[in-house]
Amino acid sequence: MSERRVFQLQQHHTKYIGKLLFQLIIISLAVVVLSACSKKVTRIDTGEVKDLSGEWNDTDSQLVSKEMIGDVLSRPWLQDFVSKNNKKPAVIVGEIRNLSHEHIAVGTFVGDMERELINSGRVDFVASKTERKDVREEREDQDLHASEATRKAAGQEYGADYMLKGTINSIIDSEGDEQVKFYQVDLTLISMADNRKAWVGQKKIKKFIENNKLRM
Amino acid sequence: MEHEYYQVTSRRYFRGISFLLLVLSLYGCGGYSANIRNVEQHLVTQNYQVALATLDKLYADSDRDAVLYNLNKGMLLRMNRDYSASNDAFEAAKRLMESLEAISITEQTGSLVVNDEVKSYEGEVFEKVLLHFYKILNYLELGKVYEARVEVLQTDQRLKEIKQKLSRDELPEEAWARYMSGIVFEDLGEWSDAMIAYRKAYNSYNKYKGKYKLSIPYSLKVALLRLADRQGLHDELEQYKQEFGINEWETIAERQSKGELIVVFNSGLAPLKKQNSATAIVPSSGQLVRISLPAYVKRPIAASGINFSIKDQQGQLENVEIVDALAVKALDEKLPTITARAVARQAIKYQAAKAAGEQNNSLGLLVNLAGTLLEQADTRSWTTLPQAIYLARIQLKPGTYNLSLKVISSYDGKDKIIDIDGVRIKAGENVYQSFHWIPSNVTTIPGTYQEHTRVNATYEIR
Repeated sequence: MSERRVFQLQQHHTKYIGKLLFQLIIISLAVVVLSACSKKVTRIDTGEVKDLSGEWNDTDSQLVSKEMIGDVLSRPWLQDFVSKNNKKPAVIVGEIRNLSHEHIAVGTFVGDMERELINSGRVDFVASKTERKDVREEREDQDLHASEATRKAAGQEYGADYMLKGTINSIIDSEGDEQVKFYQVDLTLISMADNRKAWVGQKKIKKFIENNKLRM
Repeated sequence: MEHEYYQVTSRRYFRGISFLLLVLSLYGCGGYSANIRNVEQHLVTQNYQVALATLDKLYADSDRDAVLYNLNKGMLLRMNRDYSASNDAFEAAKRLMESLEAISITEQTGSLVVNDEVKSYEGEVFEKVLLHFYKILNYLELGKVYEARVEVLQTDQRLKEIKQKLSRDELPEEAWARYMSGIVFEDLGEWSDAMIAYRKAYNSYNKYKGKYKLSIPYSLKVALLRLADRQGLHDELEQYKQEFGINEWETIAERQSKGELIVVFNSGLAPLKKQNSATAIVPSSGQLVRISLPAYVKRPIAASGINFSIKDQQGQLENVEIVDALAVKALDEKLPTITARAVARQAIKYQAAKAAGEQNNSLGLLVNLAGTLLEQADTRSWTTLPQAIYLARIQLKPGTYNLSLKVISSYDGKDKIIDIDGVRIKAGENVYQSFHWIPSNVTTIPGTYQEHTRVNATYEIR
């Protein structure tokens, strides 16, 4: 085999491999360009409804608390209490139990309700169990360190007249890629004096979720 | 003359290929199963931080292994007793699994052209069920019973969805997940839900009997009697009494003054997948053909039994789940599909190499070589799961106790004692304690990595 022939063949080779490499580079570049989208952040209004996963979200929490509190304040028990006792009732939010399928941040829901209740100005509001503990510790501390004039005595706490308790339940019905989620929030206002239920509220939310069958 | 030249180079290339294959087989070329052994060696020495760092280095950046990474990470974190972070990882894995349920077009094509490892790891059915179980256990150990209850409901929903997709004779193995759900409901005093869950566990354990060496745990039998009694289900109670031959049990009222210590013991590690490969040369074209399939290798049995002793009570933990058997069964069911895909892939690769070879001989060889080298079995599986799960439910009067566990080792004859001091029991409340014991023999894996090379194959691909 002459030297020249081999050289020609090798040249032929390099051409092919070069072409192949070139194609590979083009493809990988395309992949990089397609996948290299940098993170994008857009600010949205807190009131805007944006459903992503179909799970319980901030919108549900706000909707339920607003409607429920609107309802509880418009019922006769409030007027009855005021005319009978000549003062606003004091309310405390007790435990809202999450009995649903999802890990719901009950804290934000309770917070939403507390805000609606206090800001209505029609009821007095008592600090919750954990908050009270903090305040009591502070009061004990005051007993030792605060001046006589500014010291707050123990045993002067304002007792609540009613406790608001509740549960969040859910039912899921699914078939293939479709799913219907049903949430039911039940709230009860219980009189601390005699365990009577003064008000029962209910709010239902239903969502229809379709999952993708295909992805890239 | 040109022909002669190519023959020489072909032979040279062929030698190269054989050498590469040899190197490859020496390295084990196990993909995932080879990599994860670097993590396992740190588990034996209980160096969980190092194990986590090693896992991070291997898989933190891999998109297609994201589910697997999070499953393993969650397991390592709970070994390290960081239950909250463990649940974060498990939650991430759960969400990824959900999004992976949609069929990927690019990955399906990739798996037909390259190999099965280019697909995102979606998790097997038994892994999805166990993922929920470990989330429940994490919440219970954190003292968050209501969060555990959320997870119990999700398990139920998940099982419903799985059943919709499967045929009647391949129903998921749900016994242990159901039993655990029953324990959570009973803890919360939701008797009727507890009864339903225990009943489902009982039915499922009954089906286990034929398939695996696992019988209905005694503690479940007693729980069924206790709840059937509480719910006034007389006929069912009589049936259980006769079937189990148990006539005495503590009623729910009698248990009110006591607390329950629930010990969950995870022993060993789940089996590992190895790769079985066969390489042959098609005589007419000189092309290499290679097929690689995964197969499970069980590790040596970690523990032959676990005894507990607490104050004046002694007893044995009961085997409630055998992960080994679940894993092997899951692969057996999938193997026909995996094999079909491997064969189809070979046909595609063969045609590609042939077409390339018609244009240029060495390009054909290059394509053939690349195709052969890339033919790897998918050896991914959730390997930080235990080999088996054991359970004890111990009734105790309120007070502080010292729990002692004796693991009867089946590999070196030396029993291992685990002591936990200061277990506080309150009346009417459950306390959950879990362990994961990994003996050093988990890394001794018998008969791994087989590489069959047949030079003069008698069959031919057309």
